[in-house]
Amino acid sequence: MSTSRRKFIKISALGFGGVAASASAFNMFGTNSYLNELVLDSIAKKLNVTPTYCEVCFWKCAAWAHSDNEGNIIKIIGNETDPHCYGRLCPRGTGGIGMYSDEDRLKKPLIRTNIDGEQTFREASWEEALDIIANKFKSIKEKYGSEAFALLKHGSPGKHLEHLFKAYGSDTIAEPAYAQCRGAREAGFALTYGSWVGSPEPTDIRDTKCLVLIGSHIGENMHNSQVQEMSDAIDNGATIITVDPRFSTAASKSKHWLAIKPATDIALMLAWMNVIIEEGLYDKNYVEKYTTGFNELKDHVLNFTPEWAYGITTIKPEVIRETAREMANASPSVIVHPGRHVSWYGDDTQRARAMAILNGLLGSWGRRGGFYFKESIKVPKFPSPTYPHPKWDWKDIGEKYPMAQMGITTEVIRAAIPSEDNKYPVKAMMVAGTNITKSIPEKALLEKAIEELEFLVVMDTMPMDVTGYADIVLPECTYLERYDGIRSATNREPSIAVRFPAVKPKYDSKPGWWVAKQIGERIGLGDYFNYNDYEEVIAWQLEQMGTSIEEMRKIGVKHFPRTSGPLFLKEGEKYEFPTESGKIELYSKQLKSLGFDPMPNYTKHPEPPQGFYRLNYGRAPMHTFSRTANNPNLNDLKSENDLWVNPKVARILGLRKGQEVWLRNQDEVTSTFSIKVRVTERVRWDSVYMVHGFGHDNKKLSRAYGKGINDTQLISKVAVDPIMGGTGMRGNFVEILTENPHKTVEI
Amino acid sequence: MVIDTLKCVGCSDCVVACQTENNVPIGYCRDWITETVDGSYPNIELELKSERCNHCENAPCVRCCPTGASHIVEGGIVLVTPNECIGCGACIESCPYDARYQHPDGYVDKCTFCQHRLKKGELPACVSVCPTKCMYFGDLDNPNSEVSRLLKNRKYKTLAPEAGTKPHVYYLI
Repeated sequence: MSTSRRKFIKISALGFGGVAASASAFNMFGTNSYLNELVLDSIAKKLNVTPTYCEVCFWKCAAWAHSDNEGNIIKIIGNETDPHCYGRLCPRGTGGIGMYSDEDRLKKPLIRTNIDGEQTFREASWEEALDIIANKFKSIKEKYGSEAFALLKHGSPGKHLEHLFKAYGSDTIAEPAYAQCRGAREAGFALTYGSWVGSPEPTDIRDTKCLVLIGSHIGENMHNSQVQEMSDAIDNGATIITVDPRFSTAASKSKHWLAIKPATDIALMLAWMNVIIEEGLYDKNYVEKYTTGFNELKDHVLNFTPEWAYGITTIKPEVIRETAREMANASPSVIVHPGRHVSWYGDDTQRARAMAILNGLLGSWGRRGGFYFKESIKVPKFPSPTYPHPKWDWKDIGEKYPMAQMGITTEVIRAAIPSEDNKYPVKAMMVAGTNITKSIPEKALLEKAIEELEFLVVMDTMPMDVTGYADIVLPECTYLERYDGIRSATNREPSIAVRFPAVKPKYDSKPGWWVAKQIGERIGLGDYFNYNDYEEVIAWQLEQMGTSIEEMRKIGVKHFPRTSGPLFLKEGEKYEFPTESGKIELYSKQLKSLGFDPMPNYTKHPEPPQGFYRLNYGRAPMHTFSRTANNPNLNDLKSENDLWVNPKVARILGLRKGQEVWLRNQDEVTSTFSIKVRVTERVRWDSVYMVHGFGHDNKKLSRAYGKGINDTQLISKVAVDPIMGGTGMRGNFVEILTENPHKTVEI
Repeated sequence: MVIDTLKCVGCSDCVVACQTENNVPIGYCRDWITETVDGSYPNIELELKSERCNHCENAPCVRCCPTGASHIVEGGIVLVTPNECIGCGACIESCPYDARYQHPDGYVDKCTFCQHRLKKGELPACVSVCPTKCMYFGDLDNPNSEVSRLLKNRKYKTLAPEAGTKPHVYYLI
């Protein structure tokens, strides 16, 4: 968390010897602090400013990249008119320069080759790499059909490749953002309100009176505008209720921290519903006017009393009652936050349903201080031929999961393993912008699938672990060096943001749009890429939207008026929700007809056996996924994760602060690397916790290699959500090893 | 400067914004985050806060500087003139806040409250970037300034008051 002062002292002691040798360096700073300022000022004046939006995470904050005439990015500052950041980037956005300056970046296309029986990569020209890829696209199509070439992607580069794949005839596309992250939430809310929560979440946090966070750790996840609005809410005296087995940063800002036993959230929510209904605290007008199934819900939760929930959750009945009343007092300005990463225990859609139902009872959807009706503006599609219809696609691969509304990565991966009942065999794969060995659990399955693939091409800016499995690696340039699609996001009011290149691509790296176009042209799909430079696409789109490249270069973000009506429901307004019944479905006929519980139920989940601890993971505010561990600026803030251990556990196991340990899980998967112990009261005695995204095993990531443990490696068991196919990852248990379990240690 | 510990989430954005604004080499910092945990599960308190030079009125670093490189300018900002600094390190030792470090170029460096930005009417980089808006900067001599009002209306503390340095960074608690 902190930038270590100990480290700083060590380094400054080393620097001391350099005084005499570098004394001449002082001259450039002038003779006093006033001149010093003038020098700094004149440096600042020369900077060029380019509009961009951040790609370090999915929040996509609009910003200004400041660069000098020598092509160095000096700093990145948030765009003040952007509703994602209001001019304030988070540490990752501010430290985004490290994505550009990292000297470990991929520099040239790489082709897997065999030298004296040893597999290795050789550098290649783009021409050669793209020719091979294009030939593979052709031969896969001839042998198996286009559908057999799958795309796993994330972020902006994924969009360009999605266009290529759809033009080619494959919609075998998936991203971990769904089944490994927020998919269950979208399914749960769609079943209740008829629409996804979406990103950014339409939560009116700044005006809320009561914010309820269930395992959502705003402040450790830096979902920028949400963090800012939570701060506004604190200023306004809002009550925060945090439900988390770990004392998160958000818990420390809360009036009530409910230190819940892991995996029992649904029981707590059922008890909350019980109190809210039994004590008549729900928003009666709203429930009557806008919801359906209230009577069924009332009967359903009748026996789920706080006393019942106490034995499951360990939360005292009076606390359950008090917090329920506090939510109801704030109603309708109350938010039971849907969370973001929700693939926990396999009943995640039902947990999201419970959250959605609570919001319905409290009347917060479409109300100030609750959820607003979001709106975005449609960016016109650049003219191109229609896509061919694939014979099968991601939907067919995920057909077992009726409510899956996007590709399920794990199912697409499974489809690469030949078997008799595999109707949709995947034979080749492209991976872009996602480090699937860290973002997707069940590594054994993944490795088996990769082994079976005829061809794997990976595009990234960094030599992420997944590049090590590739046949061809393509070096993409960073977001600061390229054009990308126009960002149009759902918010209180529609707005767009642009990304223009601030500097030329470093090394021999290329933008994603260029790669897609080059492959497309080589396989006879040139008509789909009818432009020389992506700037032409953006220019055309901006013109359609009544603006221009020139204007956007000056403003970066453009706002448009709302056309869908007010942000909130008017008193007594007639409103039809986009569900089958036109109402908020407290009872879901759709789930019932699919054979699932129409209302959420608590299911008991496995608990750690003796000597094992539940492995929980989360975020640090200065890192995104496994993407930033090597970023020089962000690595400087936090270079490795540590293992949070309760002092009781530390005492029993004889663990000391800073001691290196290894972990082994219930399936006897042992961590490759060690992790340092952090003894803290902030974690329960039955769990350990670490920040996700460390323990990189590619040596080419010189700063991140071998630092900390990769939590995903230890998630070998998943609980699959039968409704939408999400992979619940919080049911893995680890034992703590104090002796190095590896006979020889690679250093 | 006034920092609201009730809002700070310890994200370190102030640290990286300072580094890029002031060209602080990687591996060093002028500001940093501290985390203090009190109590035992489940009755815990956590305080996160951003720390830096406290720009003390009674600054030991200025008193002990043998060359006058460390000095206080108008407005109470403590600065170091790099080319007058001989890198002896006395100020580093004297600072109760551990706020100074030896720059690889030899001189001692620290927070300047982004004086170059203040001259242009801008806020220090850390204040302007903070996503929680937990940092406030202004004129403590003006009783109507936001910082003065915050100190009037809220409970606050300073760091290491026992050192008698009269620090100018205040923490709302």
